[in-house]
Amino acid sequence: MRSLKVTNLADGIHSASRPSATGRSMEDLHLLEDEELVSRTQAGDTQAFDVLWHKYSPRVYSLVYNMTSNHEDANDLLLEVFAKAFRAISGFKGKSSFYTWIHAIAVNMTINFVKKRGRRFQMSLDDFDSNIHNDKEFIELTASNTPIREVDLSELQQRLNEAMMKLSVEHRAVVTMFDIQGMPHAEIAKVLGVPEATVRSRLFYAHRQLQNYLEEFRKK
Amino acid sequence: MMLDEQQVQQLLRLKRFEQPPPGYFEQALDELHHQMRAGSVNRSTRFSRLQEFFSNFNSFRVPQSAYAGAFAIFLVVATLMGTGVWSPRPKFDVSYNASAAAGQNNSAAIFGGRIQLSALKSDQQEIFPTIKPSDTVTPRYILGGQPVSYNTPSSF
Repeated sequence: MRSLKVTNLADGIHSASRPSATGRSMEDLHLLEDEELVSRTQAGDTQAFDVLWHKYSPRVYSLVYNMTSNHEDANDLLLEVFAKAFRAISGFKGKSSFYTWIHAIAVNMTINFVKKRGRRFQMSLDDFDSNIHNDKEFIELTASNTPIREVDLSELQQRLNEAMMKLSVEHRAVVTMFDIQGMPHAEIAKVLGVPEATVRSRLFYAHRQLQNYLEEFRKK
Repeated sequence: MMLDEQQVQQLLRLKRFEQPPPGYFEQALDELHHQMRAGSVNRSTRFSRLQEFFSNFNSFRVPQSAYAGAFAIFLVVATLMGTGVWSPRPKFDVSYNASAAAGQNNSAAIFGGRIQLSALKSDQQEIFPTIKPSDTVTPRYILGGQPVSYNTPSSF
């Protein structure tokens, strides 16, 4: 049996296979659909919310991290986003998916945070996963006759993040969701509450900007 | 050589390999539990309800029937007020106070330096608006050789 170390939100007891408030073990909860997990959380089953955390915290972290380029800020925001979601989940009516809903909370909180932070920030980057060396696109980029071939991995990461941080936070959000997380235009439009055409135009503009910024770095 | 759009997109996709250290999400969940326990002790029930109210406020939608209901109420109130069946203000009898004017030879409602313009009768009391003469300010309007109004003093 797979060993799970999950802490109950209410009492903080570490529970490997402990039955939840509704009599299901954590393994069973992991098999449930989001709608069921949400309704169980609304009914007071905090272990169901833990399962939602396990499913979505990596994606929410990725979104917030790529919008802030700072691990500590991303950590604080991730916790705030899930705390807010837990408090507000009783008002979640299921008109959108839980995934869209929590992404919308994360984007709004991060945009507010970045605007308050202003220019006072320092990059604090996570390391590249070692699997990057096996990635087909990475191999292709570094093998072809591009400027990327000339730079090492940490320099490449620095340049990419600096270029991203030159975009407005709204453009950065779209680039993160589309290019890094692979979300479709329609889903991004739902998260941001804007028409799909706006998403496309923001992406177009952001890609142009990034081409220019990365070109500037190449000339240094 | 400048990067084309496709290369930029390929580069951006590499950012998904930027990952927090192993075990990070388990530790973060513990921290979330800790914060929420501390927060639930400190936060009063009233504050929670207020916060819940504001969090639900954005999703509040006025039902379509509410507009029709509001318009129907407006029509009823307008009809009642227009036909005089109901008036929100108390009624005053603004007819001329004949008894007050009777002793004044009908010349004007001016007697002893007090100028009585009219007498307003309500159900409970009689109200006599008056203009008092003044020795310090100059008359503004004179009617039949008698001052009927005075310039307002500029001091407050």
